Amino acid sequence: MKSLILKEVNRISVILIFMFGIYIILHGHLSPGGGFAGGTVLSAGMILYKLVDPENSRRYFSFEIIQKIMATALTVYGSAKGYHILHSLLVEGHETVSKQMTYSILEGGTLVLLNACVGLIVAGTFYVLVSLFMEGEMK
Amino acid sequence: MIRRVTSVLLTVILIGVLIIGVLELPEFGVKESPMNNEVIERYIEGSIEETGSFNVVTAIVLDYRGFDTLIEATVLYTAAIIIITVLMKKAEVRDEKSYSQRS
Repeated sequence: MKSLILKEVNRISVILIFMFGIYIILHGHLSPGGGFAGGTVLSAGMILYKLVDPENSRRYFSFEIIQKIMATALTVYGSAKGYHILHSLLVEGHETVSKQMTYSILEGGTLVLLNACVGLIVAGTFYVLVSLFMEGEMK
Repeated sequence: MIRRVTSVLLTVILIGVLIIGVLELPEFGVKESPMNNEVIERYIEGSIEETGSFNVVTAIVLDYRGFDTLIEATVLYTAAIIIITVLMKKAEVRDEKSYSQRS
């Protein structure tokens, strides 16, 4: 689509959608939501950007970058979960890691990291699936 | 013709195997069924102290069943990577042509 108004409004609304998705992901252990829901919101923003501005979206969200981000997120998830379980088994003796009772993001322990990784993977997957169904083939 | 008959036979056999598997499941709504165990109370009462998560769903998905979520994320990752690998083929061919033209 080549409407200038659509592009400018889209540029603002996509930022708001990304902020909302990041908020859902980071507050996953405090309020309803989490990695899967927040990742879906993030991918909705990316899909909106792709609908309005396909050329720029191909530059910003190229499939190589998405591949790298998803692989890194999966590796980080596995390492963090393995560290979590090994640490709680060997060091603390069958105790789980983070024992906090304050309502804060950063004291969620590994849960914040794990939620972020799951959110990135879900966002990348849905974006790839939708771009498959939109164009029939990549590039 | 033979292919059609074998496909029908394979489908019937698969349906039979699945039905045999489903027959083994415990009856629905019975109090003594194995899904009504002590895990539910443990999740509801102890999840905040044990995991530090106020959201019980996040506590179950990322802490008690963390490896399950790892496999789930792996499935999503595999789907995306397969789509990229299979459908990016034309671009690769184009690149090879341009490489051969350059050299």
